[in-house]
Amino acid sequence: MSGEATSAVAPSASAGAPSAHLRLDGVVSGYGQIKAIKGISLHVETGEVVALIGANGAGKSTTLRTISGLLRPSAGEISFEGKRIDRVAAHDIVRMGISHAPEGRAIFGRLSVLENLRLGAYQRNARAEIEQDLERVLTLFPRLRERVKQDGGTLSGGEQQMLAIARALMARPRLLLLDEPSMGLSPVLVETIFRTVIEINRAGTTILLVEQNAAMALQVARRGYVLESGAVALEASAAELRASDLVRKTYLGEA
Amino acid sequence: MKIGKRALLLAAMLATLTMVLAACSSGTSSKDKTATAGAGGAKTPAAGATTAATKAATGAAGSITVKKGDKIKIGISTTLTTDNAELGIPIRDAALLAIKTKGTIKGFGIEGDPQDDGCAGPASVTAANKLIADGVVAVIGPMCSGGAVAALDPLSGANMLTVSASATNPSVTAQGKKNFFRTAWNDATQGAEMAKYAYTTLGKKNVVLVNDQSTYGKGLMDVFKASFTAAGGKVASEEAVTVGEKDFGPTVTKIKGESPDLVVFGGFIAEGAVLVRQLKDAGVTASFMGADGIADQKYIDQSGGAAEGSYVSRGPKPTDTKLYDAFAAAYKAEYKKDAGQFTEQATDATNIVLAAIEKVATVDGSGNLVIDRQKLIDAVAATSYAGASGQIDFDAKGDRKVVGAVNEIDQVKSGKLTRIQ
Amino acid sequence: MQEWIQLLIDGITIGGVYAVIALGYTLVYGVLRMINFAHGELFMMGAFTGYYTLNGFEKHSSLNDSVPVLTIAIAIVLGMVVAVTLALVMERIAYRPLRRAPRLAPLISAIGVSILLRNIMLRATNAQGKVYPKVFPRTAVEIGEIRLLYVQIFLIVLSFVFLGLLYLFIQRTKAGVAIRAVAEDRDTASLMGINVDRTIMTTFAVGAALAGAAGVVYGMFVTTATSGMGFIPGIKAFTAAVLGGIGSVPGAMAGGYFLGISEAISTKFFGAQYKDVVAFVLLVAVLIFRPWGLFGKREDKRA
Ligand SMILES: Nc1ncnc2c1ncn2[C@@H]1O[C@H](COP(=O)(O)OP(=O)(O)OP(=O)(O)O)[C@@H](O)[C@H]1O
Ligand SMILES: [Mg+2]
Repeated sequence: MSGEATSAVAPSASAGAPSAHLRLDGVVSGYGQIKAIKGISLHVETGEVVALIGANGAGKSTTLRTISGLLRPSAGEISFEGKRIDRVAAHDIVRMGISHAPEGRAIFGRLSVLENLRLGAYQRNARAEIEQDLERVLTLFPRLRERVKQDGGTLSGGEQQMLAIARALMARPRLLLLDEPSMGLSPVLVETIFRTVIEINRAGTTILLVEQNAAMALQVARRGYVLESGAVALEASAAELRASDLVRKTYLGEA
Repeated sequence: MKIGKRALLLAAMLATLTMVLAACSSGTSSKDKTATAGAGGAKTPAAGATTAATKAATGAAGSITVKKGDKIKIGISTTLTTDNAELGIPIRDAALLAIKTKGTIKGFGIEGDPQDDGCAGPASVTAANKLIADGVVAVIGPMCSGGAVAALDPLSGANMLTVSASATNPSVTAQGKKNFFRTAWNDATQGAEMAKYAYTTLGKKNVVLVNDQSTYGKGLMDVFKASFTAAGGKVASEEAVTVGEKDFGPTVTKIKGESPDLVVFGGFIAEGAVLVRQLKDAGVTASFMGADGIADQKYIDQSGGAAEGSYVSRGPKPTDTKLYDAFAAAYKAEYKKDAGQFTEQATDATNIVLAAIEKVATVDGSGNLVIDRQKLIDAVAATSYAGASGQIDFDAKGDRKVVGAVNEIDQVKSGKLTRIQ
Repeated sequence: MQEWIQLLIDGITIGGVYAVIALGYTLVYGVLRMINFAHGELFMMGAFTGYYTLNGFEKHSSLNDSVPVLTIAIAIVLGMVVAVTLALVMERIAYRPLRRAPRLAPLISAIGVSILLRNIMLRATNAQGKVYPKVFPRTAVEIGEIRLLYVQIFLIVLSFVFLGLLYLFIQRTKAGVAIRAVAEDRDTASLMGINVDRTIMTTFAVGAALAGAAGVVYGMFVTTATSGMGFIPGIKAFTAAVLGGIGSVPGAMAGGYFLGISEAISTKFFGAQYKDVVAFVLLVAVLIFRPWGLFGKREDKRA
């Protein structure tokens, strides 16, 4: 049985673990005529941190954008918690429990930090819970608490990254898509961000993590995929990937 | 964002251009030239239906041939859109009625070909070119002076007989185009008469002039100013309003500051009605005087009562109104509406053209109607016609000679235009 | 001195109208990077709705005399409803299909809609200007030489109220924040769970409601409605929006008053025939020296 399910909510019918939290099956996607990913299959299990590594232009961000509905796949299927989501609009996917902190942070520069955070919870209605979560993320990132009134655009790069993650968390996602959270940050901040990622995961959020910083990513993740030119080149446990020649040479910068 | 900024600039330039066009012409720009022809007119089956293949051919010798079985086409250039359509549509209707009444010429049917000339230069040129392409025998119009000055270029190039019922500015005939005549009165006549009436009869000495920046309005006020100051009166200031605007607050404030004893307006109904009302609202007590551009019941209706007491010059009028009354009755019977401003000139213009065609047209060997363009123009030049608007004889420039007429002045009394001179 | 104050009041009167209309341009530009050239016609449709409503009351009841507050309120609300409905239809039919087309396409489509609406009304009214019934007394407050019609005070106050409400809406409500978010980054907004299409519709609706209401009140002030009456205020409001910084809400408001007052004062100096020239000289100067507008923010690199 391949991806020929007739209904958008039909259970994903792939061989192997039916319990998969997120599953991509032969997904092809891109920009107009350009096919940036050419048949990607991967899965993320509940509670996992899974790393997606690869060179610039390999298609990592495109994969995340396709999962969160910003791009519509031209072939293949995507399911989340057993439901097809590849035809669902981006704003409805958030509602279903997937939150995406995009590459380059994409903070609303003219909105205050607080407004950015509240937008993260846009599709939720329970006020008390939202306030609670607000308190939680501000505790997670104390730097943001001092700057809630400031415009997002006035934050430093690291602070913006914190805000992007915090904002994604405000959706109370069951799956968090993080696109290069360490990009452009100082080593100390990278350390902090990754510690936070682990914390978030411990608190029960499944994470699909895209990273250039493969060393860091593979420390945090349990499993990983290596993407090359829009296709999965390697899939293995984090430990195996760290040991693999390909990864060591290409992504960990070892001779 | 780069593209966005460029689009913005583009849009801004577009807007600026439109405004400049609006300011240069009489306020109605080319924006309306794609508008539906025939809009607003319910009783005109011919409207817009005459753009089919050109059936009449212009011969090499400057003549036009109407094939056997085809109709003689008469172009009508007037604005059918824009706010001035409230004057333009009745002009068209009067011309169409004259055509319908005439019926046939030498066994050939006649049909009107109305085109929207936007009451402005660019659209009037477009309309003129369309009419030339349509193969019309003659053009009634253009409606407005600004449009006429521009459209006379292509029209005289085609040696097209052109008779306007409403383009009144001196500049139109000052161009010396031999193919052009008008049954409208040259504003030089009316402007001077208005100034004389204001100064001598009303005893006004200090006036503010307001024009709508159209060739007509500005020209009329220029003539008024020259005559009024020559007589010894004072023009405290000259103001302008923009066609299409509805709030003249700052202009009114400025007029109030001048404390004139008379405000004279050169322009049309839409602006005139708003201006007189806002002057009254602002507490300006000076009398108000307008000309044939507002000489219509609509001016009174739209002023919401503020027009009461206004003086309205209607231009030279026949001392004998029998023919006018007959026309007005026929018009009312046809359209169930009163004949408005310029309609009597429009019917006269059309009748003069039709009579001239009848005089010069010949049927050739194969049964086609041949009309020599120059002979047609010469025939009109030689016209002596007693029409609804009075006795019409043209001078060498194509203007009406003032014979058997006096400049009519009305005053709005109890909501009606009432003749006082 | 009194003449100057009167000119200032004249400027504030028309400036408020420009400001309210300008918001529609700026909001729609914000979310779509598109100039809705048919926006002035929504104002015109509002004025006609106001006329038909009040005239209906005048003909079939005595409510205009007994409870003018009610009939005016109904006219304003209906003006808003008509404008909003039209805006939503035009967004759906004329703009949304072109959202991925080159930028010039929706602009031209908008000009088409504008011409269409104008000609529909021209036809519907037989090219006759419509005169409002006397609902508002044409009486005035007079202080020395300064004179303010009651309806003018109403117009000035209502402009302020609309601007205030709009500002609160944009700043304080969830829908307002969503509009700002979509304006800044459509994709990221949808990642927040914002329905971008619906937000764009909301934006059109809000702008149209303002234009429709302004049309009714302006119609009462100038006492007429004509098919061409949206054109000049539309162009002027667009100018005001660009002056203030298109996309900026406070900019549109400030730009409207700035333009209205500049026009009034330049009338004193140069006469009204040059006030459009003054307006566009200002516009060109702003575009050259401060392309992001007097009050707008400089576009950051990312936006
Ligand atoms: N908006 C776009 N239009 C066209 N092509 C695009 C667009 N965005 C990305 N691409 C192309 O798609 C391919 C994959 O890009 P993607 O952003 O997914 O790479 P990535 O793996 O995230 O790279 P990086 O590590 O540099 O972020 C690249 O070849 C890129 O040029
Ligand atoms: Mg990327």
